[in-house]
Amino acid sequence: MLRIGWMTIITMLSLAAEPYVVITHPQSAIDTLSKSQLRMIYLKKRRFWNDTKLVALNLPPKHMLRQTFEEDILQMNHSQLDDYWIREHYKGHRPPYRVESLKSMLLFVKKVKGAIGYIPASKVDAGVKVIYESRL
Amino acid sequence: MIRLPLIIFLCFASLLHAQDTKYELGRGVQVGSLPLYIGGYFSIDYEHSHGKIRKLELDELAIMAYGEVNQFSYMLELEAEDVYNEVIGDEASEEVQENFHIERFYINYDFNENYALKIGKYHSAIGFWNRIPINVLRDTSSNPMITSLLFPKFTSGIDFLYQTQNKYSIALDTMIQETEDLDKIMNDDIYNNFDVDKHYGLGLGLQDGALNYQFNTGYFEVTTGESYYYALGALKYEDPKFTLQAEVGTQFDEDGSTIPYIGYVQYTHNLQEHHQAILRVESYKDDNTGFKDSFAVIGYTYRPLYPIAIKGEYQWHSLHEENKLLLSFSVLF
Repeated sequence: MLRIGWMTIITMLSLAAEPYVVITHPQSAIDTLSKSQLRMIYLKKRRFWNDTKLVALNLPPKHMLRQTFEEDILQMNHSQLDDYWIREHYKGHRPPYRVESLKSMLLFVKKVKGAIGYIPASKVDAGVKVIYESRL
Repeated sequence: MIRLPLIIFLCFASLLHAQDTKYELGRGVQVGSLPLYIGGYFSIDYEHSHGKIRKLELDELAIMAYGEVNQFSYMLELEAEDVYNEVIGDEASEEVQENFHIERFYINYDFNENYALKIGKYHSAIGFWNRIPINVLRDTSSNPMITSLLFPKFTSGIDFLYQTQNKYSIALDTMIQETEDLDKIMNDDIYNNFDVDKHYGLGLGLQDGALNYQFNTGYFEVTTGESYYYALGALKYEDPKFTLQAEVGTQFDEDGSTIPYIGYVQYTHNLQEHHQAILRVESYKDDNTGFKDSFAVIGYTYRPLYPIAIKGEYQWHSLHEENKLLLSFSVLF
């Protein structure tokens, strides 16, 4: 049991320390995104890229990579983000779509043209296009 | 007319369908896997005015349903105002109002990243305060006078939006109303601050980092025949520690000025997480009614959770009989 616990902690720490990339569908018209553009997309202030509807994806709230991404890109803590989405609820807007794992994130991005997600840099494969690289 | 019991029934029916979904306060709930989210809000207010009148009100009670499918999105918000109203010490004054009104009911279509068209009844895209006017989300229990005297709060018609997000964010709204208020399909009483049947408005919003600017101008006609022009300028600066916000405007008709000036400046300080102190100074001159007033509002808001607001404020008016204490408890669900 102790060994499994340590393994989990080591995996989580390595995920947090590893650089991440933001990915999209290979046929997407997006080539690169700046931090501020990503921020607009993940706050749903920008919901289209030309004519394509964007589908921003999030990992579960307690996932280390999500926390790293939100601190780096959104520059908002958990409480500020909660406040933001509660205000958006009144405007009729929902938070980014949630997927349960990195595997689901990759599959979703490969299938949906407007999908945008984030994964550790080491998980990138030929089926996705990298549009942002973190400098962690 | 839509009555309170029917709304409660619809809420429970929706929640039964939504029982598999994890509910979070202030975020609504999805009905099954449909593109339909249900939420709502309420507000209980207590007012003690200078003339010793003490009032207790269930001021706002509303239900919202919204969702999106591809490039379409929709919103239905039904609200009952002054649901229960009692002057303390005068039991004969007790009033119960069960009718719900259409606060918002629209369909929005996004053509692409730049253009969107909204058809139905919506909050007029004017200034900052009017866009999120419900008690639980606004800064104080009271609303600035500019939001009730200068322009129609709601527009029933179309809103054509052009927006661009590059170095600066720009939003240009064109509002057109050529019919009576949409709420009149189910109610005879007026559910807007002006009973308008024509409204043409233009709005330009600019965002440059923490600075937001908003300019509006427009023309509206009320059903009794009078017509007015208005112009408004607004500025908001947001910092993690504080927010500074101001809106000023003027209104006139063909014979001259009707409201020569009206506006407010508000400073909101984030004392610590969950606690805010607010100072607002307002001034206006209304030639329609002959009122001229300047006043200060000092308020305090505590949010144990963001969708729950407990607020207190005191207003000092140049018209002393208008001084009042306001307390409120409001929840978004």
